Amino acid sequence: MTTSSRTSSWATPGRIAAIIAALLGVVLLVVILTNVDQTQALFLGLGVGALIAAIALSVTLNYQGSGVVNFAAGAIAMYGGYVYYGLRANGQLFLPPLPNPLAPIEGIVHLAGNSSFNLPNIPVFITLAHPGAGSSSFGTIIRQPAMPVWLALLISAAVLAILGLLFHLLIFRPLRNAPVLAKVVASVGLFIIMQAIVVLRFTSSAKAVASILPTSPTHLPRGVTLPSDQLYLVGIVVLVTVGLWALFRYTRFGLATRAAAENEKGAIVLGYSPDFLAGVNWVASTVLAGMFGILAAAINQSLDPITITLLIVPALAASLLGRFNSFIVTMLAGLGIGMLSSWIQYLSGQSWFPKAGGQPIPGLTQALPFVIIIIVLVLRGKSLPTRGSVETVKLPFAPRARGAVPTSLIGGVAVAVVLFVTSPDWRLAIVNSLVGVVICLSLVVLTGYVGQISLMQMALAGISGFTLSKIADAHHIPFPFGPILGAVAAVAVGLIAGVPALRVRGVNLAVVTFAAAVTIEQMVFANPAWSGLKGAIVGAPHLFGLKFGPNDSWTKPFGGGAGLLPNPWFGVFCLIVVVLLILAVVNIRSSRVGRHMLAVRANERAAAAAGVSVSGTKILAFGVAAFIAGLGGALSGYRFGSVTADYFGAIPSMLFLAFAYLGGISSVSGAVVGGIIVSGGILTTFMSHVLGIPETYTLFLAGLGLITMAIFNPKGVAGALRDSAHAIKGRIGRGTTPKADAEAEAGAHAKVGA
Amino acid sequence: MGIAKMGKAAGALKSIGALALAGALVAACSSGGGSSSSSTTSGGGGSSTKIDNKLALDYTGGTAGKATGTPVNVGYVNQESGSPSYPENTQGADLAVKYINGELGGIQGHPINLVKCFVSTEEDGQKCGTQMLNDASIKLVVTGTLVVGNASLYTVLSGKKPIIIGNGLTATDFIQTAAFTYMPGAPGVVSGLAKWIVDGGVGKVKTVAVVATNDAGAKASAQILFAPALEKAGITVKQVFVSPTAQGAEVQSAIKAAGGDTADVFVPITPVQGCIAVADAIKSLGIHPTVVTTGLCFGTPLIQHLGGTFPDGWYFGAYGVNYFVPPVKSIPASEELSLYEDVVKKYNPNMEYTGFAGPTFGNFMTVTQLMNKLGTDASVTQVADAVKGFAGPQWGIPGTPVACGQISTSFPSICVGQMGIEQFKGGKWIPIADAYNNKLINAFAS
Repeated sequence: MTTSSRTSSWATPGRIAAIIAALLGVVLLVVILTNVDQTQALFLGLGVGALIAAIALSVTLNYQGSGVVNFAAGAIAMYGGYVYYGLRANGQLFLPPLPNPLAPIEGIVHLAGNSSFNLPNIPVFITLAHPGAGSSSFGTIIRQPAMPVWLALLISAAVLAILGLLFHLLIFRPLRNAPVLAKVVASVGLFIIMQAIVVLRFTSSAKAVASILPTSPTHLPRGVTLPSDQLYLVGIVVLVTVGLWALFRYTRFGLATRAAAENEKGAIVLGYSPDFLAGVNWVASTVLAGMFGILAAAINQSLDPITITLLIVPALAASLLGRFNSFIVTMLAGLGIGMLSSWIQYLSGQSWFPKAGGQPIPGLTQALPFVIIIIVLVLRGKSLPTRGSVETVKLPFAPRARGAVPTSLIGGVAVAVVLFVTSPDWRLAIVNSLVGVVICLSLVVLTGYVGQISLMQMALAGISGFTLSKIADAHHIPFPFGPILGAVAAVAVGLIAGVPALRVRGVNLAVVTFAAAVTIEQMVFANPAWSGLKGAIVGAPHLFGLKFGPNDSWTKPFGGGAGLLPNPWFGVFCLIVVVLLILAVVNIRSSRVGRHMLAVRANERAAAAAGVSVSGTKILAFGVAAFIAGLGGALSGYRFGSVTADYFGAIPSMLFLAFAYLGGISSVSGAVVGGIIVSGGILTTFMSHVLGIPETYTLFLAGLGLITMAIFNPKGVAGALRDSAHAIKGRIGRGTTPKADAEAEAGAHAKVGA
Repeated sequence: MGIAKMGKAAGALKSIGALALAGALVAACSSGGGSSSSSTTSGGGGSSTKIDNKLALDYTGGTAGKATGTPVNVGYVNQESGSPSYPENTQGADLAVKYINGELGGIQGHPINLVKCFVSTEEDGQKCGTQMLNDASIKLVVTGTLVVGNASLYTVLSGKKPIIIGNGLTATDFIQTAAFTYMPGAPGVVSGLAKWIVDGGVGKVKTVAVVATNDAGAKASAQILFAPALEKAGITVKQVFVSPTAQGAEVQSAIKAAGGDTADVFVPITPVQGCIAVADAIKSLGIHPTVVTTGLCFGTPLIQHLGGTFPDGWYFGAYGVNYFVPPVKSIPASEELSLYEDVVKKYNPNMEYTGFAGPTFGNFMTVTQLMNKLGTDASVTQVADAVKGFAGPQWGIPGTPVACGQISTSFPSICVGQMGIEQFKGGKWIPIADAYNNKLINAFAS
């Protein structure tokens, strides 16, 4: 059992609130006394700040109620906006894709040759009302809303409440005692599913949403003008915050939730059901996020699957500032982040503002949450709370690979042969999977072996890719020194970004690394000094005159003539890198360093007591993982012939953690499976080419897969297959068992000092 | 013990099985055919709107009637199914193919068959490029809009198969030397706006405020083309970049930061959602700037948002003709737009026709013209030469000349350098410098 906040810390919520308020007060005072424009800029951030605060309140509520840091809170808010939009504009309630039990029958009949045989489909929308008659203007039909605002809000709230309950019952209650990583992955899965459903039902084109609140300009003292709806929104957020504060301070339910958050066992002894409390809090947080999503859409007067969803990044920073338990600090932090972002944006328009490539340094507003998080960590460090659960399950077992060398070599040769004999689509899929394996291997080392949750591995890969393009290629540094230089650059950044890991762990580290990924994406990759306005090209690799880039022509062996692209020799190159890295990671696991890593993962205090340098081991893991990710970034650059900011952004980092987890994050074989299931990899090619599943469903199924795995099989696909193999071997009376392996791992822990 | 182990293993496998079953069920109940698909449509359906095909037949060189015989494959790549996605391109492409096959005799009597490949990730761009490259039946690839995967696509196809770029948005689209666009694109429109402002289009200007989205296309437009041209003329430019998804409060803040309320001219360079946010922000802030923007703004979402109108007084820079101005007989491009609207009414009246669909439709009319001249047996090299050598005019685009690789040294893929400006005032569209008053602006002329 982990313990909750250290009450001995000076950093109580009240003090933090006071510090934030004091800092804001000083800034405000200086600004107001000096410059009216800056005052205006500062206050114009109130609207965004209120939205950040609203999402952050939902995150905090979730954490208080169930111990889940909900990365999907922004996506839930966005989803709520779409529920409202569908009802108000079209009178329709949209449904997620649901398995149709009749579909297999239909499929079999179709296979039998009767393609006209059709059984009923599950509806996509439930129509509750019809839009009013429209008028035409400039060739465009302007329709009247189908439903009054109050009714659409009411039904939306009911739908959100049901969703919240379902999230609890189907996803997070089964994960109550699961490792933090499983909960993070499940919330990432939920994030993906929510976005995928909306894109499936509404496409990603923005929808116009009529305003709910008055929008007329409001004139405040000192020449400040603000839209009324922003002020209303701030008022609503403040009211909700005060309400939550009062609920959690003065009601039996609130006190019980706080008690359970501090110590579930104690709460059970006192007669409270943590399950019930978590369920109610899930309903409340989902309704809260969704309703604020509706307000956000109405204030933006537009709705798309991205904008509100991405508010999760600053919202997490606000929640972290509020220690995931103080609603008032969280609200103030959200408002503060919004206002400071707006102020920085104003300053960026000034002539003196530092520039890169002729434009104000980009990404400073997005980097603000990261800076705040780092400051908080420095100030509070280990006083950040973790939730007290009745029982927590450790990360999946990290097996020692047996027979890695022959397996890798035989497997490598087999894959190499397949690269030459298979069709271009499958060859490309294999290459994509091989690059994916590399990124997943970096997560195996860092997360699987040392337990450090990183949501920035793709950003580190990007550092390498951009270094390869902008430094190595630009200065004609030959292969293989270019990619090595890129990987070294990734190590440098990885070590810096990994420093916070010395002070925090678990989900707090996930938040830190996520913010770091956003910062790297916005300040480095989107910086014209790095990316250039015309993109970042990566030349094809060549060695001793041999060109083996994916788009270099090649000749089939045995006089077979020119082969179709992609060039399989590029696949062979990727394969060699993968095999070498697999052997290296296997070696790390078996070595003394590996035992130290597992010891740190199991229990940092025990590891330290056994003489393991916890800090050194963590930093080493960050460095090794960054190097591996860096090699993945270089391979990716060669694969596409260029590197782009989007590909190496924060969201892809999140997805790769999910892929690695789904594959099996604690083992090399898990990384291989993770590579197989990455976007454009072998599994998605199988799904589209063999099963005929449109790629429009790929993301939805990926999210579903993540949640399913997190709940039923946290060991990942590789772990499941390994268990099955063990079980079969055990049944026929030979081989080792999972228990025996676990005992072996425990033995490794005991021998860390050896 | 053994049973317990088996049970555990079975549980683990059950989860995988459940996932596979869910996938199979979804697969079975969905009707699509994967990211790649093939479609040949031969007209029919829709309303009974009568279309005067003479203009289209003259343009394409086709023969009236339905296309029959073996289809001619044309590659088509667009960004769909992810976020963002641009399905309106495909609506325009499908509409064109349906119309051309149904009423214009296809390509020398053969129906066009679109071999589609959709992109939502960088990997998809490479996959689509490889697919198009390896399919010997495809001699030409037309794109819709790609902001992801375009670099990979061009890398794979560059110099090996001709590409007609649809509605390019990123700088990557405009720096290609073996792929071409028959529109001035964002670089042309933005350069033209700068030239017009410098030339006194809105009177004496000393300060310009710019709010642009922080993406490669808008940044390149604002920084390489727009700001330097104005600054060279002694105009002070203040630029603020917002995230591509910025709306509401963030845009309000950016307008103030850029000085949009006090500058002589305020220029938002954003897609239509950003324009909606700008229009709302101006209203909410109670300010009255002179707004000069691009044609990306005047789509149906803006009309719907504003209850059937456009922001009053705004200047819009676009390709020189406008969906909302009645056709003029002496201006072929305006009549072509009108015919396109008739085709929309007949074949797909509910589609969003104002965005990228129209230019994509135009590209397929041009493809048909090129292929009708070359014949269905033309080699890839012949098609590539024809694409690069196309002298225009482009369907629905009044700008001339069409001269690929010769319009802009910075953006060699752009083949048309003229653009136009209109103002919406008092409920009407007023020609400022466009095809209607024969004052198109040469955007890249020094």
